[in-house]
Amino acid sequence: MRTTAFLFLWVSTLITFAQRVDDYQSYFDKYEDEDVLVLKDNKVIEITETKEGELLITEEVFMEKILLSENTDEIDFAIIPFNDFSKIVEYKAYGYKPNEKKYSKYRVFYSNDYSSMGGFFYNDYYFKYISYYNIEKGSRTELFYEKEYNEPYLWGSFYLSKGEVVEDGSITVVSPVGMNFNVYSFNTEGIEIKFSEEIKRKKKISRWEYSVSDSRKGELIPGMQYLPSLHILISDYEKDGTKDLYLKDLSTLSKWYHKNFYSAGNEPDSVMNALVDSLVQNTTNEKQKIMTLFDWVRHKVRYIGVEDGYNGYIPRSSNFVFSQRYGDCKDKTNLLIEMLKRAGITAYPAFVGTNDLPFDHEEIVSPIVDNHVIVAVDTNGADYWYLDPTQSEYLGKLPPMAVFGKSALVVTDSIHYYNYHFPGVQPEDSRLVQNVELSISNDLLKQEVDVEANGYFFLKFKNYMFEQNDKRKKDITKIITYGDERDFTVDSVSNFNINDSLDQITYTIHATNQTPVTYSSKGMFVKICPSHFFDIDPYSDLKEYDSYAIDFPAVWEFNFSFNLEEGSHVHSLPADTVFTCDCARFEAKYEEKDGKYLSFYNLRTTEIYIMDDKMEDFTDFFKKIHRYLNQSILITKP
Amino acid sequence: MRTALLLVFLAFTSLGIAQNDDYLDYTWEGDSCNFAITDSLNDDYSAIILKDCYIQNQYYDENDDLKEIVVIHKAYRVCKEKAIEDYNTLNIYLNRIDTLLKVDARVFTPDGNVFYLDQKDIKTVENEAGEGDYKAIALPGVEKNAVIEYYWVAKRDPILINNMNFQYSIPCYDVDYVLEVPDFLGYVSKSYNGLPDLDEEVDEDEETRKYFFHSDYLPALPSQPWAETDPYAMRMSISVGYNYNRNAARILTHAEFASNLYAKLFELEKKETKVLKKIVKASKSKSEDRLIAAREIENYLKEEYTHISLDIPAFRNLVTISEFQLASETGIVKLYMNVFKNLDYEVQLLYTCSRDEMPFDKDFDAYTHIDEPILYFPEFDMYTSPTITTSRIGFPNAYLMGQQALYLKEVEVVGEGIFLPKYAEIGVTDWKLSGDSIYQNVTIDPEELTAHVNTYRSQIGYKAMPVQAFYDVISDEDEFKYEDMVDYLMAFYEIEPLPFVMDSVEFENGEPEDILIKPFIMKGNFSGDELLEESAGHILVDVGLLIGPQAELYDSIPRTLPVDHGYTNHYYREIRVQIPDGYKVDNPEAFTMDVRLGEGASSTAWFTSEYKTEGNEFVIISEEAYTEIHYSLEDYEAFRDVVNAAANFNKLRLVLVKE
Repeated sequence: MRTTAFLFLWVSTLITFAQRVDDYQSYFDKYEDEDVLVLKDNKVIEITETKEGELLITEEVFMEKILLSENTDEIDFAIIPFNDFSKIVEYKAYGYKPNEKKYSKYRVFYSNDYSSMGGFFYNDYYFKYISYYNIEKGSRTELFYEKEYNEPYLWGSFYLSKGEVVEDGSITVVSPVGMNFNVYSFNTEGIEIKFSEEIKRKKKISRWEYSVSDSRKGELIPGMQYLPSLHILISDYEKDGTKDLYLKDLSTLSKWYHKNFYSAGNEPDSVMNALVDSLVQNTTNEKQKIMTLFDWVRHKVRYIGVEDGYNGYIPRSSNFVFSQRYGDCKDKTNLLIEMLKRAGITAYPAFVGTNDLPFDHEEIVSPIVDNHVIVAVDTNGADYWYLDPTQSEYLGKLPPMAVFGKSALVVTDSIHYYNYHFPGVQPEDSRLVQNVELSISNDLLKQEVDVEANGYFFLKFKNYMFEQNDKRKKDITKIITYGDERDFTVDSVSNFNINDSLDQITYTIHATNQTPVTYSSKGMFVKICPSHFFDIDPYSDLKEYDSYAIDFPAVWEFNFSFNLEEGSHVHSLPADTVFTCDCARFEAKYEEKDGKYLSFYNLRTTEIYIMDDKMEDFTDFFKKIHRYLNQSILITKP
Repeated sequence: MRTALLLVFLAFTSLGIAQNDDYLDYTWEGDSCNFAITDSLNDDYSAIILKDCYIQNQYYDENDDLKEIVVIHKAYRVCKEKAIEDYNTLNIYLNRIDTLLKVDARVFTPDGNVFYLDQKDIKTVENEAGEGDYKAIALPGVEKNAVIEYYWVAKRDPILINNMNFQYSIPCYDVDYVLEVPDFLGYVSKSYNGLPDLDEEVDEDEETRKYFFHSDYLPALPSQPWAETDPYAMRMSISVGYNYNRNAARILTHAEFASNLYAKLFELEKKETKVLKKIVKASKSKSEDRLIAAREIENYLKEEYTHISLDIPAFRNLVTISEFQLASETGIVKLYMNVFKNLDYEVQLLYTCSRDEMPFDKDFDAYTHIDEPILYFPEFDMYTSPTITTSRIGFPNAYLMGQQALYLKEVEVVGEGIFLPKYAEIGVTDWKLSGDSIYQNVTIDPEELTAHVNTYRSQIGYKAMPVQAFYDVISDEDEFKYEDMVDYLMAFYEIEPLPFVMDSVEFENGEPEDILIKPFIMKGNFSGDELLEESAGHILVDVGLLIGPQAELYDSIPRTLPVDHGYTNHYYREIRVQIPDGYKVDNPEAFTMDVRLGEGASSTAWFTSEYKTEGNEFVIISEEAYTEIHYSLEDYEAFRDVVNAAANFNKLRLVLVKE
């Protein structure tokens, strides 16, 4: 393999030597709007067997880029990730700086290995960071590296582009003849992928060739949601009359999950058993038992994520997690299953992917679908009951927020599994209602706002406000109602009530708009409208994004009421209005009735990811709202 | 400075006798949870520190190198559910540690259980995000109202001088500090803001000397807006002060610092002298105005030579400095002092520390407060910070102003130059020298409901510093993208939140030679359509926005810390609105404001606004000034009123009504 690698690199280097600055000129015209162009992204993968019969996957990557703009940040570094399942065997990097008609070539020696814990306490996410220097417009970079993978279940997913235009992309897999693959693609609309296959010297050579002609941007969107990807997954391997199954179907994936999950090494635990017995002794039905044990695990066992190597797939034993009272999703799931078992209730691990991931178990058979494990409780005939022991809050009426609309693979034993789809949610499931009574005091507009948060808003607000002192509550409620708007001060918060049975939080804020009312000889000008739609950035920030993400479909309702002095009227009542875009709707209504000025606003969003192709429509929609709400009304003198 | 200190110190430690490695068997006391009862505070804080013990044990190892065993022993009560995940892991950073010798932790739960750390669950995280290695430790059994207790013991190079804060944003009980050293070493220390003084004990049998203090309770010190917290924290400065093996004389004093530094700055090697001549020649100004010439010299030096924080001896040698255009702190001071002296300027050298960390204490005779050099030019009565790129004569690091400082007075004794340690207060730059003047001309088309804003903005002193000092760099097309430059300027001028669309903009006096010499000027034309709103036959103009976004202090919170305003400054705003034909201003009186701290000429902060009509122009003139860097607690409410007056002006709308 090493010989092949060097031959490959040598050929590519030879080609590079032959090239002059002028040879690349056409790219500047062809891709004038792009910062960077991937000239080559060629991967050659060879799958062999070790003496021990294990599969070894060796991947050689050659990547060449050119900088078409002044934006050197786009190209002055490269990253090669690795972890306990993959190691970098070697790498070489070269930079090419335009020097009149030729390129000056230099070898890049500066690299550093970093770890990245992210939100985890500990993991095995490492990356080699390679810094190119002397980068300027027209510079090219070349990166070659060779990586080895030792876990076939966790190999085979490739981005065809990280958002850039790709001129020449290819993935070549050299495998034993008896090896079969399942191939899936995502976000590849408009990308032609040419597949070819040949048998040479008892090797099967499968090749996918492609180019990507449009760049894609998704600042706030998880990569797998919008970047084109190809997944070449080992299905089975037939040799010497026997067939080893890998990611052939959900059954084999389920079996792999089962093998790992049940390697935790749980031992009988008398202390845990005694605790379970004491916890459930006063419960009167199975649901109470389940909820009691669920509450104990989610409140008493604290989340600490350990995700290095197989520790990312094999839970720590229930004994360890019970005794140390910490663990991640699989650890807590394993413990809860064990505790439920003691209470006579059957439960299974359910492997799910959160909304960050676009996959469904029925679309692709791979561990890449899942990044979370929760508990599926067997309720004897009815649907399984899905409980996420990592969540501090639980909504009886809605699925866990991270997985609505997603699928779960419930692994019931080493052979059987069950594929469940969580229901999607409607905007009306999560409503934030604000009823605002307005008055004027010392030339300042006072607001008494009754806030009612339902559904996922309830979850968020409860999390924000739980245990907070009055000062902090004021700060939080100010952000909820007024966002970053500095003109408002929250003077007090009252009537705070958490209703867990209704999944509802209600409270009242008393606030002051510090902007003095503008008076004229005819009366006073006031702005009576929403200041902020909680969880959505103001238009001034929104227009800077090329894509956007909202946590859940939702409805924001505002009802304003302003008592008019006797003889006062609203001069020119605003016209009722509706704005719409692909994924949202805004409506405003006005009336003057019984000596009151009343206005109603309703915003409804239906999508959680607004991709770059819909972003202009989305920002235009909010621009209209922004302009529309920036209107004053004249309340005439009596 | 610290490395130099260590070298000086170690040079006379060879007489030291190897000490034992105490504290290697450190552990906690007993099995029970004997910590303070904190019920009355639990609702107010996310956590409370129940034990805060910091032990340094310095000794000579088998190689006769001075080493230190450090023990950190802490205990927390976790008071909130939400705080659990902030406290149930512990990271021990290994950057300054040679060997981590021991770590242990236990958690007492409210129901009486005790959980112990599983040593197998201590992970080593390698170089996360390039920040070095650390030990990641998961703490078992943490829940609300649990008590977490942990300690770790490590071996490291000794810390010989230090400034330590013992007061945090949460309350702290049972505080101990212990420093144990060979008995021939003596430390000096000083406690501030009510922290107990260190006691001293000598154990003649063990040949050790011990310094320590204990406090049962230190209250929380919350941060507040427009205030620096650290200077008011209970803290301690400590330094090696004696080597009794040598004699009983104080070491590492201000006098010693002065004495050592003189030779470093002025005793030049032959090659250095030659290089200096070249630098002096290149930096010489042609201006006959002494101040302008001095500023041009500084501009040259700032442009050519960069200060690096590495204190490598080579980078205080003028030959190396000239070759690499890099200099250590001492190297930069050496360069400036010698160049200015050779060009016949009297320059005085002072050292102090930053006001946001602590006041300089001339009575504590140690290196602890000697942190940053500042140069004084008596003939101009002005200062500069040689190590700060953006500083120029007259405008030193703003956080050094008003500080006491060690003044190194240069004198000649028997034909030899020396520094004599003296003390002086660094003056505060006049508020009139840092200003932001903005002239806005607004024309309105009432039919189309469009507005055009012509802007002339002139900034001087500290107000210009953040942009003028970098303008040359950010406007260099080879170095900086145009979009990035615009982003930077938009952020600097805080234009982004304003409803302007920039049609054209140009800048004047952005060359390196202009920095803090000429005003930095921005001339722009903006579409200000969104400043206008037509409502009920009126035109409302958001003229208040034309002074730019303003800070506010609307929230009233109990104030315990005085205001630190950073630097003194002033603003002048002149807004001229061309009143469209057929319209008149309906609310002129809204633009009369006079809010001030103090009376008349003795005011130290004010915001005023007045209006007049000139032909068809409605003219608003507003002035705002802060003439002090500190405002006392007694003056806070009046100061707040001034700040909020500017914020209120920001929201004023001009009402135009048809005549």
